[in-house]
Amino acid sequence: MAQITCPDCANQYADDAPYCPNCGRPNPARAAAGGTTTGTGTTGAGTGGTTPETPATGSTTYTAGSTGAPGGAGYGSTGGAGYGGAAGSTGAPGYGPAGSPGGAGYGPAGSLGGAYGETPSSGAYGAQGGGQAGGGYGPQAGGGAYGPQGGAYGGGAGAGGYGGGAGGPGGYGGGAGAGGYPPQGGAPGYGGGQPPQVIPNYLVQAILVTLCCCIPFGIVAIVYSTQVNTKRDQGDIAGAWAASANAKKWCWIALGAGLVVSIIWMAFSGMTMLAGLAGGASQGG
Amino acid sequence: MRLTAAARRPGWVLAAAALAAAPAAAVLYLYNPLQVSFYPRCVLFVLTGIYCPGCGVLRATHALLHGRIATALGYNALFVVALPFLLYAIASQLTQAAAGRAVLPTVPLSGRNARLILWVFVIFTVLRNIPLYPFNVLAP
Repeated sequence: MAQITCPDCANQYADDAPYCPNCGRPNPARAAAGGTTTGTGTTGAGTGGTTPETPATGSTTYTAGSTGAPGGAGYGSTGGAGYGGAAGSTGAPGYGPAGSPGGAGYGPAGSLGGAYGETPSSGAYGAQGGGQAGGGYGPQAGGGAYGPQGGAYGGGAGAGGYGGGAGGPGGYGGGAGAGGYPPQGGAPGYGGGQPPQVIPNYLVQAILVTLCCCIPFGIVAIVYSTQVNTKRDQGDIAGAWAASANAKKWCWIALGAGLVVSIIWMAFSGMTMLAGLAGGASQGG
Repeated sequence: MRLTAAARRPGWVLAAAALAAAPAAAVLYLYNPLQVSFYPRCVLFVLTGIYCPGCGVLRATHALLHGRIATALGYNALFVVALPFLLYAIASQLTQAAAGRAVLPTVPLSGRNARLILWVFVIFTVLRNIPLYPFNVLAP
């Protein structure tokens, strides 16, 4: 089997593989094939991503692969799975026709295909944009997707088993990749499934500083942290991130102010104790 | 890549707080805030006479550490009620930060429920400052 070198990551892989197993970039020699893999995997390939779902939240930030990302590529004998779950966040098209790869599980173990989406803004190939989509070869096969931002969270599960593995959905409402080992063919994955984006709301921290610092700033932090999920659910992702940052900031302000005041108090009370004036019950935190 | 960095280390502050909590709890167990004066005082109360939502937390924690739940409820009912949830949430975040994935499932919190928590805090703070019988039960 001839080897080719991936133009992106210099990984060497079989020239009849549809995607680089390392970074997910489609094999340039076969790029035109997109999600419809040739060779033996055709039964399961390419079915998923052709009908990307639109995000129900109406978020403009998350456009699923507009032209239908390639569905899964069941790559021949190694199972593998869904390239092209479609939709990383803003859908900067990665390699391949539109949309972003969900995860590319190519390789003997399939398991967790590629992507652990990190940035909401880039939906490129491979490691970005998609959630962690499972591709299946082997008993444990894939898993749901989980990407902190921009990627999928939950969503399409990789079916276990030999060849069944469905690629996860890429991101919000992404089309799904279907992978397939020839005999069984891959079941088409299910797209999207409204994975909530994970934006830290710092609510726990805000409550803690409110309770422990006795400074009203903690309430400000709680107010901001309550806005995070609301805005996210309304599709205002940028606003949610801003509220998240504000919640974090006010947590720090409350904590810092509380610590400073407490230290001053303790130093002061230490001095009074030394002067023999201390004592008595007290009100306080 | 600020977001990425935030996603990768969501828990170190909490971890530091958790580490600091152990000696703090030891001190709280040994010394009753009613009897010693070195504990930090509530600034808001000292300055204004208003009970903040956190007033009574130290005394409540001391009581809890000695198993006196009813006494703790009398000092800060909100804190005592919220404590199990807070501890679970902290454990969930810490394990997720350590393992890189969700070990303990996080509590899905809609914006509406989060606002509910906010209102609970505000109303609790208002009520405990009303110096009349049914309300001053909430005062520390």
